[in-house]
Amino acid sequence: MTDAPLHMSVRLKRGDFSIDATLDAGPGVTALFGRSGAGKSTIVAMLAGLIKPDDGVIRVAGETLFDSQAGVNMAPEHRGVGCVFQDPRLFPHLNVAQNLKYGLNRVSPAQRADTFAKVVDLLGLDGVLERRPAGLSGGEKQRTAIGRALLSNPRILLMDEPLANLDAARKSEILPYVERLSADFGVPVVYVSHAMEEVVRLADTLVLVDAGCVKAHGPVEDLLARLDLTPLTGRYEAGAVLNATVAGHDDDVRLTRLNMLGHKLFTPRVDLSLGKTVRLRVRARDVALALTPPVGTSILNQIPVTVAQVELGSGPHAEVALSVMPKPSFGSAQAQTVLARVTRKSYQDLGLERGKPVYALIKAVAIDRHSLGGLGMGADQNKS
Amino acid sequence: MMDFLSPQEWAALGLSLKVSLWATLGSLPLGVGMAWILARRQFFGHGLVNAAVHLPLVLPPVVIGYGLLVLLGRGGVLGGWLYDVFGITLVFTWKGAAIAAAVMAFPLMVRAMRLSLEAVDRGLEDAARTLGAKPIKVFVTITLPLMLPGVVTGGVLAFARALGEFGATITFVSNIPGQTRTLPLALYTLTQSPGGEAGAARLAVLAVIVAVTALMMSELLARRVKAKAEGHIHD
Amino acid sequence: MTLARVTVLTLMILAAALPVRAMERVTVYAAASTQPVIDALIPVMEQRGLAISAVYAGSATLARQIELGASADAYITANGQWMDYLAERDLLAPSTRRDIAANRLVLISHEPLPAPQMVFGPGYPLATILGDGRLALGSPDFVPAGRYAKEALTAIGAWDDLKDRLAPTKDVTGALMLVARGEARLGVVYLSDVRRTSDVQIFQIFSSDSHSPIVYQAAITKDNATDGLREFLDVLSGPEGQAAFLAAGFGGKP
Repeated sequence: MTDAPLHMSVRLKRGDFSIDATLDAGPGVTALFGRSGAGKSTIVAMLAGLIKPDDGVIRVAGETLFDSQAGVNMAPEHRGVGCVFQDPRLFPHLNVAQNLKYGLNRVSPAQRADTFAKVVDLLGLDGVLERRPAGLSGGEKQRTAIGRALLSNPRILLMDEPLANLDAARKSEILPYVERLSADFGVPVVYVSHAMEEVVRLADTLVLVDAGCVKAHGPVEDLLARLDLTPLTGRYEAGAVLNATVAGHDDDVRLTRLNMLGHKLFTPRVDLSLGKTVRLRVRARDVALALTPPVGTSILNQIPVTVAQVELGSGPHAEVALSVMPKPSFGSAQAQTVLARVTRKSYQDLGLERGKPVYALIKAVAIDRHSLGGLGMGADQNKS
Repeated sequence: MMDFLSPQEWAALGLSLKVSLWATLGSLPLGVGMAWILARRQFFGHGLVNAAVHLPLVLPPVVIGYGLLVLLGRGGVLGGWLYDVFGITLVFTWKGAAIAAAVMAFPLMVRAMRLSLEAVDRGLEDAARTLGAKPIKVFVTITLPLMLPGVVTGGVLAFARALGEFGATITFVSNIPGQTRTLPLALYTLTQSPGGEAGAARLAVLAVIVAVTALMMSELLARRVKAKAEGHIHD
Repeated sequence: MTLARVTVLTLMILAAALPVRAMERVTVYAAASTQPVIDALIPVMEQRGLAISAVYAGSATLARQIELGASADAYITANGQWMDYLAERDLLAPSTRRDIAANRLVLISHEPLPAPQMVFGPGYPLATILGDGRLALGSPDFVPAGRYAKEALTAIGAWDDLKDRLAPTKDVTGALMLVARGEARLGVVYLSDVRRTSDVQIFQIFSSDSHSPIVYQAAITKDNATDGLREFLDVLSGPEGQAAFLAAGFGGKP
């Protein structure tokens, strides 16, 4: 606990707006998710030292950055916190190379050249090193911003909605870079976002923020499987996250077969090699239920599941949490959860009470490419 | 061409340029510092400091000149000390004239610089700090280059104002040919003598030429600096 | 209409109709050094129906403004040269020009200085007494007091030695101030200026022969002569005006 990458517990009050947040981040990517105005950016700004909390404690890798009791408030330049903001904030009077090197003095002289080359290579910035920010595209600017933060030898990387100002094409261009950051550089990342696809793709730990408070905190799969949290994660987009491995490709029909706990899942073709671990999100509204596996249907994925929990709201919907048990050959693995949204009528008609075995029907095409992310991906990645 | 002006008039022109140049260059760092304090720091007495900086704009120049005399004259608080410790005298010297010009031009300089400083995106400065730059480094590498157009503008305005400075100068350092008789003082001398109109007109034309040249050069310089700061020119 | 309203209306009409002594309003341009005297006489003239608005500045400035058409009804100058200037341009009302006061030129210092036992005339060791200090005076180029000072210093043979040791000021007040602050060791001002500050003392008085007569003159500008203005000029050269001049440290009219 003392040497956890990040431990923060802070409180802040400004007029009507107040923050009371406690969170711990492990190695890997921790996502701060919440609606706009929930306070996520403020929490990150406090971590960076740009805003002073009224009271609380912030510790990174065992070093105290802030402690109101002890009167410690480290200046931002000493914190070793790398920041990537929503707007790239590139220095307009310096070119890309100079921007990148701005914080390089925090890297030991012997390693500077190598680290620089590595980051430039990782982010594909070779061709634009001489250019000024004014001559860059949105995607290039943000990649430069990421590279610049990386090159300041941070102990922890903060990314505050770095993709929010980019269009869908740019986002999918940059997401893979961000995915590899934590793995390639071994630096923990705190990633702020209000877009679930990004969170699903990148995060190991999820912190749900609402009205300045941390409402839930834990592994991504667990939080997204909880029905009580769907109001925070977005009811319409609610869906569970599944981990699977690539079993093979059917190139003639452009599909990939995934192995999830021994069950077979078809998805549109992804450029991943065999055996690679994949994380995918399946929206609850894309999951139908059947008592027996239907035949002569277009739905390719039919997984045997057990009803774990049902939640009925005031409307016509019923939210169902279903447990996917590992096949015998996967005995030691943990069960995963799939969420389904059906009508109250179907819930009644099918008699969906706890423990009932049913089949989860998931359209292969509903598993969109954007939610397919690799855990610790290597050289091959999605090209969009 | 040399006959366009008499030797004394050429001397006045030369002295004016020297005095104004020193006044401007000497007060540039102070102007930047004051612009920064007023733009970036909140403190008790902020309004007072701001008002004090602007006094030379609103008070009669003769009053400022008298104030300088009281402060920096040999019998003055600061002036006496300067003489006793360093042997420096400012009254009746071109250095005193430069100080008078600098004081009168200071508010214009600070205003221009403050404006461009306030236009510098603080988000950039924050980003620089998170990259490990101490506040001084942030100022020198980020803030100053980006506010440079304002520094240039402030400098030029101050130079032009210094060239035309009369009231405070003549009150503080009087009208000594070769030492403190700058162009405006020489011009005034001519207007006050019957029959001096032609000479005054000549000097006025000269003053206009010098001022316009300075302004044009600075305009070019400012544009170049601005383009560089915005990233449209490569080094 | 009520009785009250009728009363008020009647009083207002009567008040408007009553022959109030008609106030004549005039503007007088006067040399700055005469300000204490003119200010003292303004209430006096107001009693007699002449409301004076006085504009004070250097004699040269005022003369030029009158030449350019400023609406001055009368001009008071410390220096006959500028009165001549206006007369040449036919800007004065005929036969209104007259002398009204005089002044003396003095050498002042901030602290008491040792005065050698000799006549203040040619050969007086002013340069030695000045030492490494400066002599403050109005700029001889354009301040009347400065011109007189140059004449007087030339008359005692000190001009050549002193001319590079001067502190020429914008007006005689500037010279007075430099000496009062102790910045200039010596200064040349009018006798009437000495009483304006307690920080100077008279070192020597220049003899009247050593410079052109310092005579103050007044005149009415062309086509503006009225009885009221003539009366004002009479007052200036009459007992009341003379008393006022003497009280302010000037000499009486020559």
